[in-house]
Amino acid sequence: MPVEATASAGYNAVSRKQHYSVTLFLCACLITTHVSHVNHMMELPLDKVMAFLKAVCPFSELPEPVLKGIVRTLLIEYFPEGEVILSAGPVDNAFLYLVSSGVTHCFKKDGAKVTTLRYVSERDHFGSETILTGRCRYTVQVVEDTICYLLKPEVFKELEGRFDGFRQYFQTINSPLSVQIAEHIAFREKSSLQQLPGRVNETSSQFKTSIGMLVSREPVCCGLKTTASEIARIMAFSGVGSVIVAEKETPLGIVTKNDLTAKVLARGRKSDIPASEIMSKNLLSLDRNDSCFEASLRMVENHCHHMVVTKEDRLYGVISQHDLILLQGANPVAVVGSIYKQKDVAGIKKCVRDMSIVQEVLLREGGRMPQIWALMSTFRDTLTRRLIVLAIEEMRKRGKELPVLNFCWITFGTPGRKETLLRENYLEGFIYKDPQGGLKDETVDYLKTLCAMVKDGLVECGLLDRKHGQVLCLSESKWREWFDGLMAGETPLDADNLRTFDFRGVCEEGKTVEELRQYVFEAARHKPRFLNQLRMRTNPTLIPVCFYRDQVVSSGTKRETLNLRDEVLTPLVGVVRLMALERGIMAFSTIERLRALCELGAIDGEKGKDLETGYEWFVRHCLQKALYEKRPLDWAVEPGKLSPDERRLYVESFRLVRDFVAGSEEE
Amino acid sequence: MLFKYIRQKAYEKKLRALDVPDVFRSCFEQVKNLETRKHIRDIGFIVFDTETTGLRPARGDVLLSIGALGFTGGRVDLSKSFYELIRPEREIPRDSVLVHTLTPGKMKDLSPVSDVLVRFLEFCQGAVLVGHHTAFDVEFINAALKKYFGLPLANRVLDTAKIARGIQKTQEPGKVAIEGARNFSLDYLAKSFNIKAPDRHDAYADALVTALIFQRQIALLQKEGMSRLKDFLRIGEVR
Repeated sequence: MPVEATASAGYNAVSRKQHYSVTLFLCACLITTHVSHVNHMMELPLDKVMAFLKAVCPFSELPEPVLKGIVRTLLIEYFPEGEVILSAGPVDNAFLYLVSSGVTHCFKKDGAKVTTLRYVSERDHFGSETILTGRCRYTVQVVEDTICYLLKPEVFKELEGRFDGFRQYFQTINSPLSVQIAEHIAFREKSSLQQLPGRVNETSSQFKTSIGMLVSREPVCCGLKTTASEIARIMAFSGVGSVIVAEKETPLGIVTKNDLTAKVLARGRKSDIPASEIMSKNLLSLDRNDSCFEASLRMVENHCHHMVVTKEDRLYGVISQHDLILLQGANPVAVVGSIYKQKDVAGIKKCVRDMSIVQEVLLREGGRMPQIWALMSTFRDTLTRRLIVLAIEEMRKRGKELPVLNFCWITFGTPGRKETLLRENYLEGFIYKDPQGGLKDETVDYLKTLCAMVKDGLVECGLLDRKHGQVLCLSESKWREWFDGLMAGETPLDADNLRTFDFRGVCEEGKTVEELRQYVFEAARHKPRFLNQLRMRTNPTLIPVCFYRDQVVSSGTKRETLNLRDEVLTPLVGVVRLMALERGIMAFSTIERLRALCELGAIDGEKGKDLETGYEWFVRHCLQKALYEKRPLDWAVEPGKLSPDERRLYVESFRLVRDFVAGSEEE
Repeated sequence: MLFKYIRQKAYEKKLRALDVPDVFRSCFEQVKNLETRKHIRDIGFIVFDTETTGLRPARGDVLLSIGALGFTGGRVDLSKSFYELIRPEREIPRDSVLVHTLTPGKMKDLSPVSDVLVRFLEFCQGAVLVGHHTAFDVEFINAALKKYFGLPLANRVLDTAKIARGIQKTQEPGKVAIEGARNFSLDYLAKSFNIKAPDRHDAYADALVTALIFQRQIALLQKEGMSRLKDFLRIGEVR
């Protein structure tokens, strides 16, 4: 690969001249007596050192000639077990230590209390802050005999000055976690992420393409009084499928070919009917700088196929679902449209596969988890609603009509927090308003059958656990009793029951569920005993401390694997839920709850941002790994498969979550 | 002490009498002033190795290459590296070509041994030299130096194999008393210290492995309370 190409992969492009100047500088770092011998010198057999350097981030991204120069400036030092390499405080003789073999222990000491920060082993490094600040924040002691390559500070500074990426990398290491993770993701997206299987490089990213890019022509408009026949002529002449109804450049509605068919021809209305009577008024609009993903999401949520694009609040153009499909093979709007068209569970099941494809595509394109969660939640809700409609139709075929009831489907747990990744859930519910005089037996039978049919559909689609998944069908008052029982301690507060506090309505009309949520959140905050019970359930010592080589260290024990969901995510979600219940925060997702807690001042802003980013990154990282390795998402993390940078981010995130959970325990 | 003094005086006398490059004088001055009571970490070493056409310079075998690197403060300094091939003054035996892959074609544009040795001395100055089974390397270097300049190396020389035997004596005195100290090969020591050798086997690569072994030996001897240069010279000097 040419030098320039290699450099631009991870760093701002550097000219050939710059490269050579760096190489020359690095060569100049060789001893002076030696410079006069350069012509006679043979190539040094430092292949192992070079191979090592190529495996260490960020050196792995430097051009080969520069690396060769760096190799010739390194020192090699051996540290026997027990030796202290760096002590907390000012450092006179600073180096960047690249660990070639062995393990060192980085820790902080406060009196007799030793806090492990991390263990550094092969291909990892420490000491950059000693060069940048002249101080060390921690002590580094050798646990297993260690050999380090030492990068001299003058070489470090030179690389910093020449390569923006190199400087940014080490600046980032000493930044807040949220910045570190954001930089890490950006860096990974440039390299390995693009190598994920099945990536279609030709497609444009929905996240990076603005909808303004899809507008190919001036909007075709008509007035409020333009007749249907005139609109049809405009469409035919302009070759468009929709016309914007506007007055003084302000869009008021839209008339599509479907409107002409359904509202004029099908109803036998005259062709001189004005646009004002046939136009769709719920016009969606977005600014031309908004992303195509945002447009897809809005179309999916509002079940529409066209959207107005504005520029500084003025009409700029129109985009359709078709435009988005052309942009990206797996289009969310098309998936939702497909669900609506399905006539049976088998058809809906096929849509789940399309949903997963969309999820994969979004992940490859660098989509953020909140965006992916939002879309997957909409998919899941649409699917559930379709199953309910199909069940009602099936019941009608059996001669049973839907009773006049105000009802709603409820989803609990992960989908209840709008954080679904289309995996099997364990609890779904059905809520209906208590009818006066109670329910007739036949109505009860109807609802039970309906729930059973939807349950079977969800199980068939892989969205409800076949063995343990259940659907509770209760009236509003019974649901309140159910939650009262949990809060009073009548029902044991196990992990499954705790998750029921994350719930939301799935149907369009979700007023009943909203009232139930308000009741539960209001009741919970006034039940200190219940809240205390929740607090008692959190145990920060279960959260891992760090990695030791390829093992996970937690509470003095070492294990080969880590279950990220059980050991880290669940405690974090649990504490955030508890804090939300304490303060009556009605937000659904963990991230929304964290933001609300920050706004209330319950969590420090920077810490909240770090927790939010860490939580999102954990999920994203596991999901990506599963995708890359073509295996189901099982939340298992094998430390041996993590890069040193990922290990560092994991360890810092563990510490953040552990401190957060411990802090809530002390409250 | 007396022998050392006599040797030094004799060397100085020859140095005055002979027309040799200045580097010989500067090396000698530095060696003469070497403070052997200093802590090992305060001493500058040059770890080196050579490749030759055979085993005996007296039978006409000659140097083929010299590889060396700096070692100061317990650290191997890759920025202080030396590796040169030497144009041989005789035909290289077929077996030797196979070992070193240095064909006559590759050799013809190289510097003669006298030039390379002067550059090597300029590189080493008065540093203590360290090698593995160094007597062999020193014999070849001295043979060439004497041939072209009439003087051998002035530098003090340590042998990691001798140091290894010294360490064995302190760690397993009973075994050594009965069976004698073992002969430690470079590969054996590298393996025992879990040092991964470079893919290429040449003078520089072997010097690097020797330096890494020496690093470990320093740590081991320091544990035994030996941390001054004189302690190392006592158990590992090649005279």
